[in-house]
Amino acid sequence: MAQSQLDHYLATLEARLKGLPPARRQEEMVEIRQHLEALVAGHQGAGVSEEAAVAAAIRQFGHAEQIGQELNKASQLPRLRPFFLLLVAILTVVVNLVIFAVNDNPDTWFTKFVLAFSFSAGILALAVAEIVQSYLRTRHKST
Amino acid sequence: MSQSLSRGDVPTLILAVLKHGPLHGYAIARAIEEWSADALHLHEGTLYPALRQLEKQGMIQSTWEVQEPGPARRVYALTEAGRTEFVKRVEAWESYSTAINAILNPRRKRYGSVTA
Repeated sequence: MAQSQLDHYLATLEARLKGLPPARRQEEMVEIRQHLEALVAGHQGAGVSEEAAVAAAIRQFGHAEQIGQELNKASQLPRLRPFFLLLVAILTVVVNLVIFAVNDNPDTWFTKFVLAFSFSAGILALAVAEIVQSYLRTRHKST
Repeated sequence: MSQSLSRGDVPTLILAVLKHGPLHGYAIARAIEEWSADALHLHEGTLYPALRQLEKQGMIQSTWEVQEPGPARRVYALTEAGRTEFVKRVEAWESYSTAINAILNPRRKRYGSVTA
């Protein structure tokens, strides 16, 4: 009963850590669980029942959703600016095109373009993904 | 009347605690509790966002320490930058409190000597 209350609290907090990569999220949860378990043990050592000890530990630690949200925000690594990435992607395509333009190798302009874009596919995809993600985040915030 | 600590004080409290040596999160909470009953009103969970922020700023460094009995624990230590920052914050606080004291206890000053 008391354990399920603790698990529920941890699950609520973890649900707020969406911005973290799974490995980092797991680290945060290990640390928080250790902290809460130490608090519970402390209260139990003072002669409190397990259920009351878990409730006291949770009260002491704070509001699960709020702590989770703050931790999510504080733990995120600074993001590459999406439009900076797009600039790099466009630059890569242009450099490729210039190289193909001065060479005879891909002999038609169609293949020159196709190759220039496919050589830059990685950075282009990353830029698009970043822009979509930042758009979704701002939309999520405003609602 | 007691002035309670605000959430903005948490990073400074952490730096102050870690000045005496590396500790894990739970021990930081206990050290703060020992120092000040006021800090009890701050929820202990708020330590972790503050710890992440301090680490991002390069003030502290964390490592997972493997302990022979029991699971690994994350331990936080002050960096050189953190030490310097703490000294700066203490100096800033001291000059601020000196100014406040001068206003609250004006009798300590001789007004004649102010005009120079």
